[in-house]
Amino acid sequence: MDPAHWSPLVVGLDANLLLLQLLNGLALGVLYVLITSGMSVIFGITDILNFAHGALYMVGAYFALTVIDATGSFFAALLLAPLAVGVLGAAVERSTLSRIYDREPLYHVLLTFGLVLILTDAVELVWGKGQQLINAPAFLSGAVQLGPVFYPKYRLFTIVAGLAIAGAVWLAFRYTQFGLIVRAGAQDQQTVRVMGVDMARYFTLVFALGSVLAGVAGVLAAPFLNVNPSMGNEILVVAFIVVTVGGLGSYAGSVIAALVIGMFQTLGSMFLPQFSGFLIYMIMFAILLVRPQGILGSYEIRSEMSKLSFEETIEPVALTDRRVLALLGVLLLLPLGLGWGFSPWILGIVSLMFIWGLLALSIDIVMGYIGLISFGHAAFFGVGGYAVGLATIHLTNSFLLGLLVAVVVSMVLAWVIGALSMRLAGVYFAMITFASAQMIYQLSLTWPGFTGGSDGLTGIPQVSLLGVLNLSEPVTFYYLALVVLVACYYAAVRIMDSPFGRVLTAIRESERRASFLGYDPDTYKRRAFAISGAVGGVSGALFVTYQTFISPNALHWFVSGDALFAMVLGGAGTLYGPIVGGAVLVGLEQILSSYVDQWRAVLGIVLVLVVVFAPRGLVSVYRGVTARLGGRGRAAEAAGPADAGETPPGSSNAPPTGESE
Amino acid sequence: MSRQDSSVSNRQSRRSLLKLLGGTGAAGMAGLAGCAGSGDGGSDGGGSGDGDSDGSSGDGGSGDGGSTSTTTSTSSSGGESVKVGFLHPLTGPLSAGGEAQERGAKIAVSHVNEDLGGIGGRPVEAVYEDTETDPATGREKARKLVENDDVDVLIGAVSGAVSLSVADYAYDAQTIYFPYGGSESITGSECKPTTFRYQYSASQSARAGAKWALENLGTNVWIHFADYSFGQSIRDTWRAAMEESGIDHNVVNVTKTPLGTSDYSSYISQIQSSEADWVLQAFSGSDAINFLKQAEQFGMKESVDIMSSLNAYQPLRQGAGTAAVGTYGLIRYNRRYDSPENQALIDRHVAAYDTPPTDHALNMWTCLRLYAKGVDQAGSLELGDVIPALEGMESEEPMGPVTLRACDHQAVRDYPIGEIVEPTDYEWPDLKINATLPGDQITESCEESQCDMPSL
Repeated sequence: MDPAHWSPLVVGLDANLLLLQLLNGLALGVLYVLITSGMSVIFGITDILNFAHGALYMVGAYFALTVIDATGSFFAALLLAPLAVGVLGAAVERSTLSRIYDREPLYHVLLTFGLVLILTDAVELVWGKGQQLINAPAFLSGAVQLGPVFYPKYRLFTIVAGLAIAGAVWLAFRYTQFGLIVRAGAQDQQTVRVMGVDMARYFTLVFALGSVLAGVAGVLAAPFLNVNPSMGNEILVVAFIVVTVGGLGSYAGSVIAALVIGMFQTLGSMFLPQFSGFLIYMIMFAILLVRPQGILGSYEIRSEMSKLSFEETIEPVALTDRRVLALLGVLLLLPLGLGWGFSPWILGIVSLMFIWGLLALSIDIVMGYIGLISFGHAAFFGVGGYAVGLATIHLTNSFLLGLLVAVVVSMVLAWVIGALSMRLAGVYFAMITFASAQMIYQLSLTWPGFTGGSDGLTGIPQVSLLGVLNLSEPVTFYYLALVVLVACYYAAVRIMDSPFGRVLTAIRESERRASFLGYDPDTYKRRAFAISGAVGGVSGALFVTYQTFISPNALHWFVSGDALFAMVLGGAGTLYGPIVGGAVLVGLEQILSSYVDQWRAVLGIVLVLVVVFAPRGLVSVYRGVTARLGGRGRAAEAAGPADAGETPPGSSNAPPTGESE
Repeated sequence: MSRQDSSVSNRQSRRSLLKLLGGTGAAGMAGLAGCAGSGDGGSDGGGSGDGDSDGSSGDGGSGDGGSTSTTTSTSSSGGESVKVGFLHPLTGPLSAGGEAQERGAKIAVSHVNEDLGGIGGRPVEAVYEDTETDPATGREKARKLVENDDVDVLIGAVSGAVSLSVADYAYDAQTIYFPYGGSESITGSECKPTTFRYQYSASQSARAGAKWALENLGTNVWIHFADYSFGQSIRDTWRAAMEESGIDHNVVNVTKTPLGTSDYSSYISQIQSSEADWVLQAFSGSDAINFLKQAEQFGMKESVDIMSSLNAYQPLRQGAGTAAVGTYGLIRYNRRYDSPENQALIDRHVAAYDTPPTDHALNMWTCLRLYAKGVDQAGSLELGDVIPALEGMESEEPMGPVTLRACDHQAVRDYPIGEIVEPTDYEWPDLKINATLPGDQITESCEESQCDMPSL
């Protein structure tokens, strides 16, 4: 080991350096304060975890760019840009979020995720994809002498201005009518409503305020952290960690946590460079396990918000259903069309659709059937993939063996994560799964000897089935993926139809009643999570078999987000809906990216529309369409099965009676 | 309950809306899927066009290249065009250069078609794809280009990880690939017969820069790198080069950050407080711009010089502005280099984009020219003919003579080194060349190279 790798701790602490780092940590921390306090307050009153907060921060920086271009004044930008972001936030809230407050947190997460996609591409469209330069005002550039050290004036300004603004907001919360209502609303919304306050208006105001704070952070950060379209993503992850540690909903908590984490990151890079990236996730994980309410928050899951449940149950379609058989027939015959206008690459794309369909299916097992929001399924996908990759490189290139390793490893991992996370619910469960997946992502980056690091695993030999079939052949792989997909779907349907599956559904609908009946919900949830993880691992295994390559990007939270998107797009809780969703998502991405530069924005719009207007996904759209086309009204549908093709036997389309709590 | 009633009627109106959307959407998708699948997805402007080319003369499939055929006829399929697949990072941390690369590629295609009569007398058609600076996406796009668009050669993909991934695929797919990434292993331990690299390797940059820096900037060195293959490559090759220089030196510390880091303040503080004379900045793109700007704010340049093999890139100088002035670097493109080839490049670039060529443009231009020359000399597009033609091939290019070495397919050429200075003719900082190091001096010998060329 190279002595130069050892931290200065060994060499000797320099008081000047320490002072510099404390100031650096403070500057970073103040930035986090501005971003996370807004996010925390929004959650406190609306129960929405705003994924778009990082994007709002970014938009603030870009608005500042425009104001400075127009007026030449940084301070004008500091005043106007955040206000503009506030207006944007209010507009977004009014038009989209306000329609879904009564829905489950999954939809909030997905909607705000869609907003990220839209905002990022919109910014790229207007301002371009590259970096932009904002300079600090002339009188704030350069360094100032603080005792023995020189420190940039602009950063000092950031510290002072940021703290002043945070302090002003705190005072507002403490001493104004508005603040009173916000704090009361965070504690007990029902009572505040009963007292005659129009909460909808306050939701908008709070969202606007949070957006303004994010915008301020963006403007302040721009001169020293630089402006580019992805600046929001990096900060978002840290923001999650900060709000978790500080306590979702607590303004003061997030201030304290932000400063602590800013310090920790800065000092950590000096003393523990190998681990600092990893450690903040461990802190988040630890807090969620030990003290989920964070430093100053309160752990309160409004019962109707914590799980995903549906008014209308759509049963999984049977494999013997006519339409399914027809579709399978088409898929089986598809490769025969090779050379008639499409290349093997198209088969590859359809294979990718199968893989994503499978991943979305895996999430549906926990989300659609137990209602647990997992934002970490990328972990199983990635781990399954790496398992196959590593097994193929080091052991054997047998597909079956690699698949076995992938299934076992991801199942064990899922069981462990599930066991640790079961005590949490709702948004907190989402966050702990997020943290788990991010830790694994970090691990893959920092263990290059084993995982190939950020380059990923290249040179994975081609995988073969039973030593006979080369699975890198597009046609062979296509059939394999199809077979695996159908088999997993069949297995999932059977499991959900079994007594085990019935208990899961019961737990989703009412955990208390299920436990009164003598079932231990946690055991069932853990098992279901393990199964879900295993299926996710299978999809990852297929992915690597096809690509003969994997990189840490497969473990990134975007993969988790996309899988959720696919599931909701198709139709959660139906098992076949997510498969459709996965296929549609892959198809859309491929087609759109060839035609439109801003294809992510289009996907974001699709996501927002689906969440707001068709939360039951394409499956419900399809059923609605066929019902209309069939000329039958809802009454006729409810009266009896219209035709075996439309309503699989055993399901009910009648308006629900008490299925949701 | 009223909530259910309203949701019932909501569902009714939702369904009508969705019926419309669903129907048109499905029909649309089916239609588009057919189009996208049949192999003409994205040639020329379709794939990634963000409207930056102002209609410069046909860089697509215009067939006028056939008239001035200068070589023997190629394979029997007559006037069929040669398809080139370009891979650029149009999104992601290295996207600052992606657009510049695409521009360079476009004029390169016009140049080859109009000035050289195409490749082997056949017109060149280009397809552009975005790697998103992601190795898996890059590989997927390479696959699309080869399997769907039937390209004959792949060019581009900066970022070591992406290049490695694409090179791996190109070897499997038996397609020639000119990578733009600088990681050592691309023509080192991971060399492939299908890979030919014009871009300097990390060891070439290291050998050119290390000794000069130790002699001119000082002997106490701090190394800070971005933790991915390219950054690691730079760290390793510069350390080796400093050892070999024979100059007594001291590596004060080696620190790193993940790719995409925006806040370098804690590292800058450490560097400033140390005894280092200069810091080796082993990262590029937006990370470099951040670092330079923050270093400027801390006044780091007063006490510690910054040396990089990457800061001289024009987009980087444009992005960093005054923050780049006073730093040192290896210079890959010198617009003042006096050669007719360089003049041709400058003329076309200025005519098309009203701005001088970037290093990225140089690279795309030269790679395409080298491939064209190889095919011309081979007299065919077949891999078995082109590869031997390219091996050992010498050519006069905008930045001087180039030899594509046979043992590892790495280009050997001279390397200027110098300082970034105040702007002169343009708004962004200019370059001053302090020395030019000869190609054979800075390139490790074939024996030293880690390349063990696999068979085709």
